[in-house]
Amino acid sequence: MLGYELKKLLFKQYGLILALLFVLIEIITLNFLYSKINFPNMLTKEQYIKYMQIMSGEITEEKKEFILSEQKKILTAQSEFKSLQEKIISGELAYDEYLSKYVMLEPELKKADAFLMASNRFKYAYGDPNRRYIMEKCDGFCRDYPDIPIILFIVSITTVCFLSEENTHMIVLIRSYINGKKKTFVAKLLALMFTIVTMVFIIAIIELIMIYREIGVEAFMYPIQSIEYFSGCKYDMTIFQVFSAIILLRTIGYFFIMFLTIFLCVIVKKPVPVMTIPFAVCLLQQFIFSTADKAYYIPTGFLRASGYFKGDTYNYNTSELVFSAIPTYVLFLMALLIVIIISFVIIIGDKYYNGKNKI
Amino acid sequence: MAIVFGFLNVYKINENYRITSRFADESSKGIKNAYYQIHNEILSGKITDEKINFVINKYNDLFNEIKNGDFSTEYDESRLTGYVYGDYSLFKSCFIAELEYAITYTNFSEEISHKAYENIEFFIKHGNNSDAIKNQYIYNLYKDRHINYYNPTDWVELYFNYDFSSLLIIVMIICGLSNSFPAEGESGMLKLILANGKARQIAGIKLANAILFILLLTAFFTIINLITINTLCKIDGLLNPVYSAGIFKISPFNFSLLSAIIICEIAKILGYVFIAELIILISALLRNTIAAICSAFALCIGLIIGASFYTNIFANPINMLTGYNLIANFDCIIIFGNAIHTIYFAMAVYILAIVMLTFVIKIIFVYFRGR
Repeated sequence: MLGYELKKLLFKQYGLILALLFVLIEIITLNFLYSKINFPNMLTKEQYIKYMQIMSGEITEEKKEFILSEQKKILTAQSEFKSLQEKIISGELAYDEYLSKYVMLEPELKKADAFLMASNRFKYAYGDPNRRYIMEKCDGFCRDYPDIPIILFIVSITTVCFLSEENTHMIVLIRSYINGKKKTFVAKLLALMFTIVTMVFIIAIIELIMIYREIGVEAFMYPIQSIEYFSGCKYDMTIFQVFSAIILLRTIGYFFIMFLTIFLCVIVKKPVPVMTIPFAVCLLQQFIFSTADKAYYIPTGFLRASGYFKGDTYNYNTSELVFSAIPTYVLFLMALLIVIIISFVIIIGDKYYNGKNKI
Repeated sequence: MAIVFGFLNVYKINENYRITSRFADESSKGIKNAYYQIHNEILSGKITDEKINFVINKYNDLFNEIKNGDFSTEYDESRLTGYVYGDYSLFKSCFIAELEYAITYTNFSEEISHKAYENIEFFIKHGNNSDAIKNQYIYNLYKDRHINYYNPTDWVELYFNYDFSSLLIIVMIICGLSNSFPAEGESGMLKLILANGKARQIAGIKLANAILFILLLTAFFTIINLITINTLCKIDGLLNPVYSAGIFKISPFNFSLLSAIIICEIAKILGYVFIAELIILISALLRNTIAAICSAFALCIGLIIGASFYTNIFANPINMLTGYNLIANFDCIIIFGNAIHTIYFAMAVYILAIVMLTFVIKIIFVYFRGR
């Protein structure tokens, strides 16, 4: 039965084409989110990469000394360059002499931009050297909003899966057979869950590749606090562990949206509210709360998920608390709430397939 | 749905007020009451020497009291806010600052018009007519500006910076209109409509209904916004010029705050109608309700995300829904040697686009779907 439902969902109802389309959209979106740092020129880029190759990882005495010695070299070169400029303006220095001295200073001067960028990474990690390692920024990973394309996909295929039989009156036939009554609902649920999990897995792999491209493979094992967005995280977890946890939580969130859509399908039975309500819920939760932490106290918080690992965050200028850490019990309470909602929808859905036909 | 969204809207306005207002926290309640009491009893209305002297004298008395250092920190019923320092900060940061803004505004605008006048001469001398016209326009806009009336303007920031109701309206537009054409096909009504030969009229009626629906929604949410904001901070001085509010200090417009509200709402209606017609166009092209709704949401989310990257009002209809940007920023276009505000030109462009889209939708429905 599962095989038939899966085949119907993916091939007859164009689920596979839709999935491929949304995977393509995800690749484009993720590529945009994980875009590389913009460097002012190639020289700065090369130098920055050199610095990061030396400095990446845990802060050590050698790295501290390296940063200080580089800073000293660059500052000395900048100060000598300034005095050279003053001298040439005042006429104390001939142009040839100026050029010969400038050529000697040039390599250090050209490092300045790259050093500033690399030293900023060092400064951040130095704020809490036990829990922060030096690494590239990873802004795409810190997104605090739901993945809209996948939500569009889930709502669409769930609506197609559960509403097409109501619209074509196939539900009358399904209810007339023992197999239809007992197995259809479970088969549909499993087919949908399999499709969603596969989709999430494929997108997670794509995202992992994007993260790897940005921070490298070693950084996956760095503490999560190494990323500025998670600086206040209270859990001792690595970047890879948090990534996996976020994917898991988002999958639970997607199941919540799937079951919400199923609930509307069997209760309302009209495509407009069935599709609009889940979309509206996902969209409005993003804008209705003035501070993002509040959004994590409702089940749709699982669609964002990253905030559960964020920790207290303060405004850099005003020292005002802008994000209050979500207690661990809230995470479990929300998960429990989602389980209760899902159980409730399963009972309602089962009743719908087992119900009597209205003549 | 409108009722649920209405409640959400009220909640969001309250949230915005709590975050942005200077009187939002519990400790400022006394200052807020005193502020509006003084306004109602003494200060609101035309700025006169008596009112200015009242504020200055009161401020000086409080300043001297604070300076002497022998004031009581206990609650005192005779004080406006209950405390000497509360009264002092009320006069210093509210009345003095606001009256100073109103009185000195003429100097500020004169400075802009004077610089524009100098620029006109410079650009004419160098044969740059386009910038000369632009500066002539700036000169005309900013000369002879005066703020003669003093009213509380806290509501202005809250009203014009509030965009959440636009999102609610867009969701309702999707809900109401994305199914308008596929539903006819799915229910078999399309065959009847086409057989009757009235497809063009039906398409026209659907579009007219869409516009009426948008007008009703806009009116509903505007009324809710104004009522809620009025309960939080009194709406006053509607006939004062827009630049009487600090957030519109450099606004190029000389019309009243009431006119600004009307123009913003007209711009919003045009934005909504344009988005609605795009949604209807999609629904006319697609025969499946689910595909139409999904596409409508994808389109609107794309436009919303796009608006954060491109703020040009011609590039994205979502930019027509942001009241503050429409009124606050100076932006003009030179057409046939005359400078006109971009917002007016954008309104004309959107009207044209709406008319064109109407024809396209009718053609698609009558000919494309008819086959």
